[in-house]
Amino acid sequence: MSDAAQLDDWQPKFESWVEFAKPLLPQGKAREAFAEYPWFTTVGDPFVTLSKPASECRFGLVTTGGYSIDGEQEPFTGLPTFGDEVPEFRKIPTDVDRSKLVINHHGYDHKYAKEDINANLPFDRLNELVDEGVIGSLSNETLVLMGLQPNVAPLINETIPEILAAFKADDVEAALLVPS
Amino acid sequence: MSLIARGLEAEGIATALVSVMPPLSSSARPPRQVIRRLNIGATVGRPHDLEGQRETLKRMISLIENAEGHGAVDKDSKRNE
Repeated sequence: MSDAAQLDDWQPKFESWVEFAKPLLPQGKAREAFAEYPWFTTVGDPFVTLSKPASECRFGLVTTGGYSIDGEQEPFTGLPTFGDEVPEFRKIPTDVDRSKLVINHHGYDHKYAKEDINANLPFDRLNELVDEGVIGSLSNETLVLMGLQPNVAPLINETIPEILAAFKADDVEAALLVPS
Repeated sequence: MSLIARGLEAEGIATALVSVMPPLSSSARPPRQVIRRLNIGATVGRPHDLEGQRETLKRMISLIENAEGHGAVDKDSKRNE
């Protein structure tokens, strides 16, 4: 059974929670609100194995670090809401001019990434692993999201299929997921 | 992020997630996760800790290559604290 099939059961619980949580957040009671959040229950055990060694596979990277390219991409706006907005992602070329990268996500401390971007966007380490033959190659683009998405329905129904399409178009066979 | 891992895996892309908040990541049951004692914002490793960053990524790659089934976990032992 797919995760999408579980949404019918989850969405009424989520809508009840939004009614409860919305008045609390402007009062600074986020902890109290999220203590009652209806965690999404997944059913089924998706699992695939590589048909060849990692040293021959193409790897992709997904991060929720909230990066965008200044002046070239629309920045992410704020933190996700409780509505039906579809979580967006940005495609960042893995050979991007890093001086143009900005972090639009204010839900985590940027001090580590400012000191060394590899702390949560490990382009240098991954390129080294390609050079050493640990992995076959790195995708042309890294996919960047914002994280903190209380309404998982548009994520499951729309964003994840788009992420899949982007990786398939880049011939990605295995993915490393790095939250922030 | 666990839901993204599951969505990719269901369509044939093998995944590994690094987590520094295992109760959160585990609640949605990702196919494979490496659980590290690191900070949010430095989930791969501390700034300029090249070996620590490499270790995280190599453990994720190893889990993708070697895990035998859904729910595989590679967790830091206490000696890494």
